[in-house]
Amino acid sequence: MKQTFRQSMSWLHTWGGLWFTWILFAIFLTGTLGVFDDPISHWMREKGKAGEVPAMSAEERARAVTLAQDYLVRQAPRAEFWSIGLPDEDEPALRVFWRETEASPFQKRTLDPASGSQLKPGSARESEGGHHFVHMHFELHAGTAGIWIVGAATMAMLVALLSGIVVHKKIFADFFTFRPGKGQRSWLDGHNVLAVLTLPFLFMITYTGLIVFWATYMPAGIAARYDGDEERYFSALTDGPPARPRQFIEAAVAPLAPLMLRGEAAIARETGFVVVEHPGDRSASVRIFGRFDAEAESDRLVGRSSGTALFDAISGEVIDVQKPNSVRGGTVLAVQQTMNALHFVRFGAYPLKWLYFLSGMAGAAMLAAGAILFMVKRRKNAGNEFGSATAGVYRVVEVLNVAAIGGLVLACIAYFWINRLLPLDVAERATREIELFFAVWLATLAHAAWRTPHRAWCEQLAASAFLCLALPLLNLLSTGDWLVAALARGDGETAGVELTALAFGLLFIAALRHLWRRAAAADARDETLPDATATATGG
Amino acid sequence: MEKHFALYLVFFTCYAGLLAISLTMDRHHAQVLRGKPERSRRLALRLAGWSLLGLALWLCSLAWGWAIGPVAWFGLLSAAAFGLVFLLPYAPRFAPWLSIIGPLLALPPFYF
Repeated sequence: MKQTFRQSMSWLHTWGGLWFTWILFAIFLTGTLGVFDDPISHWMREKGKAGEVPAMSAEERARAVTLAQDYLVRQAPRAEFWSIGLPDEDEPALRVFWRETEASPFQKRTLDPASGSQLKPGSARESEGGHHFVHMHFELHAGTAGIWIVGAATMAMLVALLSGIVVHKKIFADFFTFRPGKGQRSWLDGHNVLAVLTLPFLFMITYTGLIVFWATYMPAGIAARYDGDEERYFSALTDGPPARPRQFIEAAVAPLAPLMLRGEAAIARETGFVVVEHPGDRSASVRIFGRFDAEAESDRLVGRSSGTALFDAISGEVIDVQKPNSVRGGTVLAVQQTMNALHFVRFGAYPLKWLYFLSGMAGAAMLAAGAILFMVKRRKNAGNEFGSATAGVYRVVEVLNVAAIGGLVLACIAYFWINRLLPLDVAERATREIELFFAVWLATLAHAAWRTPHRAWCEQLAASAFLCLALPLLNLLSTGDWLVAALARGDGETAGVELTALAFGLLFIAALRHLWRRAAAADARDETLPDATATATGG
Repeated sequence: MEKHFALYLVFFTCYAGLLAISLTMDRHHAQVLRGKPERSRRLALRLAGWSLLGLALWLCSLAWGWAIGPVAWFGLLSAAAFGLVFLLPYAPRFAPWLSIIGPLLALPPFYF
């Protein structure tokens, strides 16, 4: 049978969409939560209670950097890099990061900025916070392999968007059409309307999402023109100083505090971060990063430099200084940065972040409606698409739908509970939180496989609704802080997280009521028309 | 223009524009106002609708500039369209009133 173009696009949209929809839902949901990674981290690390952190004087900063350097020299005299985060209004502790070789794991410790002693586990609520959602979003916590999987799914998303437009016969006539309470028709309307009304956003976010990792996905240019030396390529792209390859001559890093103070004088801004590349080697360099000024950046699409000063770490000689608020690099870099800024919504502050959050949630809902529509269609009118295996395949799709949609939602809100319930002195606490997040997600899969689809949906939705609605109460019981206190002191980040959770809780209750009513209506129908159902299943 | 005020103002400008455009369609005209729109009314609604969307874009440029403004415009357009799409089946009679009540409710916190 010869197919029309629209029929083949419909096939592509259905099957290409189905096999990627679960992973795309995860990417959309966690990415959308990631829009608010800072407020989520603020909530998880109980920053609202801490109050104002007094600003540090230049001497205090110099002392903190010296203490951090002493610590790093003891821990990793030779390393790929050291990074020192100075205390700021969000984080009163001194943070040190390092990696010994490119292959070894990333290390992080928090120190007391006055004494340099390592803060004891349990003295703060150690957590990845909202960053967990961001990592889940772009690499599924699976490193480079995850980036490639997300890339493949993103391509599938672009294909599904284009084929979806072709398949949608009445894109203009049905532009504003949603017909609730009509079963399959309503799911299709919902799927269509959610996609069509956010189409500009969906294209933008999907395309820029691919572009962010272009150097990973399309390495051929750098491999051919720069012999695969990414550092050399990026220093040319950004008009920066040439890369400094390792020389394999041992040399100690000069004291960082005087370099930091010289750097601050050169860029006329306080230091946020001090990064040392190749400490222990003659090629070592020190980069002073000026403190990021979010307020000044919110009016611009393309962010400007916060100011950096680069020194030879051994001789202390100045290599490069970039003043704050300056822009470097040519048009190519500007285009690239605009794409990144559009994806990360680095501009426009809260109003724009909320619009991204809304559009992202609409995208996630669109994917969920599509996946559910696939099964609603087949529950009513079971086909024979996979021969004798059809029933089995449908069952797998049902189970995956519940676990990938309902289950992930449950795991995301459970992550907030894990953060509050896991004891503070657990070793590697931040990692444990993420492991427990995955454990909850896995449990929802087992639950979905064990229960009938209707029961599984209802129970997981009910659990999510409960966890959302009781979140402020949990916070009150576990930390003594909560929504009302946060509102009273004008802490919009803490209050925002809990109010958003409440809103989602109400949404889940509404969805649950809808499911119950439909189930009751279906039962009533079955009782009055036993013959009709018998014929339907028989035929 | 103050950004939060712009958010409300542009949202309701987009909402009114989209409402006017939806009323040029028989289905939605029947839902909201009963009957089919006449040709002259259809043209007037179309003109009003697109003008309001254009006005919304211009307001966005005043609040955010021409780099960020269009991004905000697309976002608010989607948000307003969701409002309209869910009001049409559940509260069609209320849909036109929102375009009047909405801006009035938004004004007091900023000006009184």
